Amino acid sequence: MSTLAAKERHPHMDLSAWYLRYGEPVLRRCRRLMADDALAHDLLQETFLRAHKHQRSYRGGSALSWLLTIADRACFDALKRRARLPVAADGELPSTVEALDLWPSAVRRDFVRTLLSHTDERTALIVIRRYFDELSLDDIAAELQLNEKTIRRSLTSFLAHARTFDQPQEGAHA
Amino acid sequence: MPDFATFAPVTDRDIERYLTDELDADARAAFEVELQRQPALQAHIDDRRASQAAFAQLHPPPAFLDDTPPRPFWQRWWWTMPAFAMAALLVVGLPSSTTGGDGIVARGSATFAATVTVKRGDRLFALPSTAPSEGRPQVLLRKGDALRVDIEGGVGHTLLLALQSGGRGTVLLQSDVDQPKWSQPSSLVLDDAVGEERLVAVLCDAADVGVRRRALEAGQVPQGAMTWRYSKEPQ
Repeated sequence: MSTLAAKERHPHMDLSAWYLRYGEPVLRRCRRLMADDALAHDLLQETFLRAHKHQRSYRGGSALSWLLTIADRACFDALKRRARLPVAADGELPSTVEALDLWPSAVRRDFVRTLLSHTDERTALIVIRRYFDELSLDDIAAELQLNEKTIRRSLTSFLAHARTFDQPQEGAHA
Repeated sequence: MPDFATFAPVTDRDIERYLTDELDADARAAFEVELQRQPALQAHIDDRRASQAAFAQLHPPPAFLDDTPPRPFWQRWWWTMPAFAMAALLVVGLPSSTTGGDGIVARGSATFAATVTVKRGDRLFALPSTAPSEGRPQVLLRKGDALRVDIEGGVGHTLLLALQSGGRGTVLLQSDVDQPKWSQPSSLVLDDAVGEERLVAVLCDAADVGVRRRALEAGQVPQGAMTWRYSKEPQ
């Protein structure tokens, strides 16, 4: 679905109004990525602090996409700080991107969340857009200004990396 | 879009765009057709609208969002570069006459460096020091956050630690600094009052303690003090 972003630009940024309008989706994103309500509230604040600090970098377009990208980066940093080893449902890992697509969405998101802290930021942004926002590869490519081949390769390498955890490891969550 | 979208052909991002009025007229019309077609999607949207309303009531925008954003550092400091260059030349050219270090030196005060660490649950983070006259605080703290002050330097002086808000201050601690690295014996745990606060630390000679205390209690920041400013958000 197309958005207003392509046709209109926000005349100016009013972050207080944006907080009321976009705060709930940002908080929801943080909750889904962190699975920790208190931490999600901290990251909501962190997101808007970063948005305030870097508001001159906003170049128009979808404010939602801009804020969610900031939130994703803040969550990614937080996930890195509390890096955990990923564990797949029933100890099985998907062999391909298509196989992961067949998983129940809640299980898939849990799996992806635990793996995010073990990847790089660009891959994390791609994976979040794919498995949390449910965007198509070309939508992800447009939003992140990457080509579709790169998106596909990143998703594949993300899963390949997951398979390196396919052995019982000390400290993994039960 | 992926086959696995929960409300296919509507994606999760479409839902967010719909709820934040970012869909254009055509996309919005298509979305509303899907709302008619999928009762589960309509129920989900109703839930989300309730969440949005609750969010708006429970989470007022933080005060710092109304502040002028900080300019990039090169815009703030470029004009000082010649002055820094001159100062560097003077420092190189003149024999040192100060005590050195990263701390603050001022008439009647001691040279020291101080850090404030905030403990929230099992997380620790540093509270950046700020100038007393800077705009509204950029840091949000909350009830239950525990603040601990660590001091380096200033041995032989008296430390005064005060909490100021609304033009008044309370001296929380007066202690002689008897070792190069000194830590506050017990943390300051924030209460549930909402608003802006300022933590002030100053080291001074014993003879100046009375004057400094009165200044701190009157909401003033003595020369040579270090300050940390923050806003306290409602729970």
